[in-house]
Amino acid sequence: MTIVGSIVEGNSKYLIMRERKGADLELGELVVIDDEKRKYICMVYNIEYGVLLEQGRLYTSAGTIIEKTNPKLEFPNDDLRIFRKIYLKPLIEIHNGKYRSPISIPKLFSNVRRVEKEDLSFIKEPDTKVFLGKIRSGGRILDFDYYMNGEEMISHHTIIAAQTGRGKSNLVKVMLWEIMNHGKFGILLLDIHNEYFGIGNNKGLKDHPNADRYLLYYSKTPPPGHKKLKVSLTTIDPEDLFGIIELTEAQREAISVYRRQYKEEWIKELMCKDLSNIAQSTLRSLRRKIGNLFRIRISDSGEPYCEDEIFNFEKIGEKTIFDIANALENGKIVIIDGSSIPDETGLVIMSAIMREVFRRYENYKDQGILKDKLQIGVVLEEAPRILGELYDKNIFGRIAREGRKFKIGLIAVTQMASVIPDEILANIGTKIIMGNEMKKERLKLIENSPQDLSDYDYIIAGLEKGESIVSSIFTKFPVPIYTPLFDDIAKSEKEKSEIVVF
Amino acid sequence: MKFAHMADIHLGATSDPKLKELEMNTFRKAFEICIEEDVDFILISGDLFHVNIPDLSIVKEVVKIMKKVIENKRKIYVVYGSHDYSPNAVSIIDILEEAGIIVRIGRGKIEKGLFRPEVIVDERSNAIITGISARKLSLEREVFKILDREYLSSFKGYKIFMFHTAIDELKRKGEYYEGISSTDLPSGFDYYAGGHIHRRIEYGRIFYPGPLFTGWGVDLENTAKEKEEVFI
Repeated sequence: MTIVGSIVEGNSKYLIMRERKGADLELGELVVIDDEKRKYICMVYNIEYGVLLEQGRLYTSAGTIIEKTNPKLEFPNDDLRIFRKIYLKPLIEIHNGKYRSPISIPKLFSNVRRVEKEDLSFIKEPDTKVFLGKIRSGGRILDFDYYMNGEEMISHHTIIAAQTGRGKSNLVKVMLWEIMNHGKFGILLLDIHNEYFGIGNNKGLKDHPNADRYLLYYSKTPPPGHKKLKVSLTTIDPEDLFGIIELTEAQREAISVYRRQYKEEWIKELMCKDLSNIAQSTLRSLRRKIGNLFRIRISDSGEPYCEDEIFNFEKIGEKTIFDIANALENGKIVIIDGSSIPDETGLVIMSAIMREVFRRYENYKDQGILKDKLQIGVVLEEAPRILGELYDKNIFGRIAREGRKFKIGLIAVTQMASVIPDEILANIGTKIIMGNEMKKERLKLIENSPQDLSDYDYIIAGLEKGESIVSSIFTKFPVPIYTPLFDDIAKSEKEKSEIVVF
Repeated sequence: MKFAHMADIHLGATSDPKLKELEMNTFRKAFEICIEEDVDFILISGDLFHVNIPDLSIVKEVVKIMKKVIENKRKIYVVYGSHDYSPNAVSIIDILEEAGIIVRIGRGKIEKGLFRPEVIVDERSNAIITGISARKLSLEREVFKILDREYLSSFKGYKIFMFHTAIDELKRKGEYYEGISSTDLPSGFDYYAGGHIHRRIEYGRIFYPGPLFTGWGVDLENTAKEKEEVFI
C-alpha cells in the first residue's frame, strides 16, 4: 500500500494532509487514514499549494524561468518546502468492525493511502438490491459494485438529477435491468423518447433474459408480442386530469358536475352536451383543453370521437388501467411508449394507473395485508411541473407525500430540481446527483441532501458522464459512483422460453 | 365468397333438459341458416363442445347436423377452444376430424425455432385458412410469440386466421382471462376469426361472434338480448 500523504492539520470537519510527491491525488478521490484503532475513509475536496518560503522568492524564481535569465530552477524537485496541501472530508469512521459517521479525528502524522476495494467491505449487498454502478474514487473506478436496498430506495423516493447528456436515462435503464433480475418491484415508466424498451436492433430492457416474465411494453405501434396501448375514456377519472393540465376552479367544478351526472360517460357528455348550470365560456375552454388532450373531434352528426388510436369512447381498452395495475402488483416493469403522444396525455394515463394502484394499496393497508405486497415505483421523467407548481393537485404529489406508507414510491428524473418544492425534495430519501453546470440546480440539491454536501459544489460541477454522487438517508456517506453503459451490461443473450408445441 | 363464423358454442354446457333442447335447437338452426345462405364454408373458432369428451348423444346429434353441410360439399373448419382441448387425451374434435366431419385448423411444426401453422386452401372458395389452437389457461399465447409471420405473409389470396384467444384491449371489466395484444396476430389477413370472448365484437378485421347459446351463466341473459351470434 503506497502512502500518499500524512495528516498535518484539521478538525472534525476537515483534515489537511501533506501530499507525498508524485502521488497526484485528484478531487473526489477516496483515501484511507489508518489510525491505530480506527480507520477513516475521506474524500479529497480541495487541493492547494503548500509553500514554506517567502512569496517574493517564488515570484522572482518564476520570472527567471519564463524570462530565461536563469533557466535553472532555484528550487530542486525534492525541496521539502514546496508541496501540495490536500483537504480531506472525513466520510466514514470504522471502529471495531462497525462503521459510522466520524466522531473522532486521526492522530497527527497518520499515514494516508488510496482506497482499495477491501476497504469498502463494510458495504453489504442488500437482499432486494438495485445496482447503481461501481464505486469511484475520483476518476478511478474501483472493482466494487454498489447496490442500494431497492425497498428502501423506492419507498422513500429517489431523484436522479443532472443536466442533459450526463447519463440519467442510462442510469435508470441500468437500475431497471437489475430489478428485472429478481422481479421484486413493480415499476411504471412513461418513456417519452421510447428509449428504454429497445426498439429494433437497439439494446433495451427487451433484451433482458427475464423480459418475458417481467416486462410489459405498451405502445401505439408495438412490435408483435407486445401490448397495443388502448384506453377507454370511460376509465379516466377527473382526478387524473387535476394537476396534469391547468384548470380553473370553475372548470374543475364543471368537470365534477359532469362526472356526478354522467358517471363514466362524463368526458363524452361534456364534449357534446351543454348543461344549463355551466357557463358557455367555461365549457368552451374546457372542451378545447380536454379535446386537445385526448384528440377528440366532433362528427357531422354531433357525436364526439377520438382521432387518436389510443383513446375511444367505446369499451376498447376498458381493462388497460386495471391490467397494468395488476402487472405492477406482480413485480413487472411496465413501459408506456410516450413518444407518440403529448406529454400531458401520457401523464394522464400514468395518473389513472397510479390512482388505481393507490386505491388497491390503501385497501391492502386497511386489510392488514400490505406487508405481503410488492413495492411499486413510478418513474417520472422530465416532468418538473408535475412535481413543481402542480404537485399539490395530482397523484404524484400525493405519492411523494404519503406513498411511503403505502409501499408506493417515486423515481423522479429531472434537469430542473430547482423547481421542485422543498416539501417534496425533503421527502425524497435518495438523491443521485450527476454532473450539472448550473449552480442554481447544484445548490438546490446540496441544500436538500441527506448528508452535508457543502464541500461538493465544485465536485458536482465537474462530474463526467456516468459519474454521480449518491446521497441517501440509507447511506452513511455520499457515495461516488460510476454507472457503466447500459449496452455493455445488456450483452447477455435472452433465454429462450420453453415452448410446448401441439 | 360467403362463409359463416361461429364460436363458443359450448354444446353440453347445460344440464336442464329444456335448456339442453334449446341448446341443440340453436345449433341446428345456425347450420340450417348456413345452408339456406349457401355459405362456402363454416368456421368454428373453438369451444364447439363444453368438454373435450362430451356426452355421446350430443355428439351423435352434432354429427347428424354437420353431415348435411358435408353432403352439400361444404367444409367445416374448427380450431380447438380451451374447453375442447385436452393436454393428455383425445378430444372429440380429433374424432370428428378422423371421421371426415370437420377439418381441424391449428396444426403446425417448428422450423428454426418458429411455429409454422398448417395452411389450408378451401377448394370451393380458394380462401386460405390457418390459425392457432387454444390450450388450457390460454397457454397458446406462447405460440403467438414464435409464430412464423414471414411464412404466413408469403401466402396470397383471401386469408383467414382462426384463433381462440382473448385480445387484451377488448376485455371488459370483470373479464379476467389472459389474452394477447392485437399485434400478436399475424398481419395481412382479411379476416381474423376469433373465439373465447363471449361477446359479439367487430374490431377492425377481428371478429368475435360471441356464444351461440350459452357457455357461462351470464351468456343466457346476453343471448336473450342479442339476436345474431353468427357472422355470415
